[in-house]
Amino acid sequence: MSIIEVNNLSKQFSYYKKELGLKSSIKSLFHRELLYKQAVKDVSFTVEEGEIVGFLGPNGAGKTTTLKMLSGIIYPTGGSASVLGFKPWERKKNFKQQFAIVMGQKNQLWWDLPANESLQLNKCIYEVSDHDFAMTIGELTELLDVKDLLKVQVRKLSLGERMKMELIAALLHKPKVIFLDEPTIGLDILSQKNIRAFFKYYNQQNKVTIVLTSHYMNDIIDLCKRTIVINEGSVVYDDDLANINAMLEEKKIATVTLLNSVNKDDLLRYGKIKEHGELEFTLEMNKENSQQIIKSMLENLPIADFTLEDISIEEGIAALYQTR
Amino acid sequence: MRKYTKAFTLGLQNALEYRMNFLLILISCIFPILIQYFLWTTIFVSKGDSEVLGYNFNQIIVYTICAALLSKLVATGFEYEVSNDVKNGQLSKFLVQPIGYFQYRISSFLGEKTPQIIVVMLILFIILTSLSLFIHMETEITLARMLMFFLVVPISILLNFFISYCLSTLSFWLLEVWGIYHTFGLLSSIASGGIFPLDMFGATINRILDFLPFKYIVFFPINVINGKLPWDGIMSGVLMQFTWIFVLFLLSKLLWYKGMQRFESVGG
Repeated sequence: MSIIEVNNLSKQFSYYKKELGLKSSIKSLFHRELLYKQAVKDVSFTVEEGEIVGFLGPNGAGKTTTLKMLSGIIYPTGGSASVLGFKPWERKKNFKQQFAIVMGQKNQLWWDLPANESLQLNKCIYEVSDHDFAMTIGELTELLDVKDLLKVQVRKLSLGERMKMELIAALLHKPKVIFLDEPTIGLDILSQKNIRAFFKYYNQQNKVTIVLTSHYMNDIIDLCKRTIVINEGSVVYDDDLANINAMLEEKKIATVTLLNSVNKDDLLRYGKIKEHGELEFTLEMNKENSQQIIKSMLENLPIADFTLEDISIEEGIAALYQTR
Repeated sequence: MRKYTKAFTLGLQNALEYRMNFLLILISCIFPILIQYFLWTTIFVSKGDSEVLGYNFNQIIVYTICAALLSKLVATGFEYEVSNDVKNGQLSKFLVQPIGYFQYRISSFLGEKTPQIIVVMLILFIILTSLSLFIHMETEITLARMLMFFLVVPISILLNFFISYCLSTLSFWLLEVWGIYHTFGLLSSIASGGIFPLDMFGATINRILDFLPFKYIVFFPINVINGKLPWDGIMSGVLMQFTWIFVLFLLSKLLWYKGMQRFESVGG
């Protein structure tokens, strides 16, 4: 059995509509229009033990909502899910002992106390033995290079340092499944890199299963072999990220610099113009006959410079975001 | 279990940290007590009787002092924290960790109350013994009643905890609960006898209040110590306290279950 199984999971939120202004405020005292938003609809996927799966999607796509359902914070309105063999929203103690969720935008540490105290509290909550506690703290602080910061009030830590402390707090009980919701948000490139390296190492060492959401493409490319792209609540892609272009139509991008300007119609014969300046053009063309097109371009156009490349992963994903 | 002793200690530390706050709250009791003192003086003078509604002047002053202090002692306040947790999504922290929110709340509440119980009991003990030395009271405050009082007050505190815990679930349905908490606090302080002795409201209302939990929070413990209640009345009162605690416990379970299904864990 897979460690995470999700079948047709759905979540619908209800909210009230309110028009702008005082008049409608008064009106809404008597009558409010109830609206529904389908945040997640019929999402299905499975994750095997030890996998790192990336969860990509534009803002409001339903990534966090899905993670919240998988960690039992909210109830779904339809479908089913099992994590480690548990129904997350039943919130069994046994389940809670085996997973962790880290949200980059929310801190779980006590703001006014040194990280030490929060860790100590988590130790009690998760019933970690003194020996294991000392071991884990020693190892993780070493790995993340925050040994000296344990006694510093959390509010005095920098964003990156705080994130590292959050991670330690979340990993204290050696979870088997970890949900990471934008763990590198707002961090500088170096800190992002550190945290990525840490997870790579941690995953290899402990065979933990990680589901990760992020807007930083590097996070996903570096860590995840498999990526699930979700848009407007539905899964639109579920595969190795390198194959993303295979799913889109096979296209190549040619960037051309000309010696002197030519008629636009002359260019349109070769492919779709994506961007154009005075002398610079970006053309999208089919992969199949790209060789012939280039040949004829080089013969017929006054070309100064020329590059040909695949559609980048970023653009592939952007294209996925736009599909409805 | 250790996690809850930890929560208890955290509540205790909190109370010790903010000891000045609690002392000032106690000191601020003096003003309503003074107002009531003058009020009752005028009433007794203008009526010319030595008794009003079954209380002589000394008794009513003792009642006022006890009620003021006791109200502060049983007061909760965590309901604001609960709504904050619900409103800002902080509750999710408790949902993913193997710690019961209810157990956490009650442990930290009891931890917070423990030093306060000791302080208020001490103050009451000193006030009551010194008053009984200097002024004449119709009914004597016996040692047995004093002990019974010390047993009953913690139950009252527990009872008030459950009322507030049930009330706090309103946050799942309403975003802003401040006004409701405030209004409820006012009504419950009147209905519990925290301002006037409940005998004032007449027989009919008292019969209703007998079946509500409120009077068992303040009025009942005071009647234990001032000797107005016979021993069998005390026993049935304690029984009533436990019955209400049980009922409210079940109610809170139901309300939290219902509320949790509405929890949206906003923000992030």
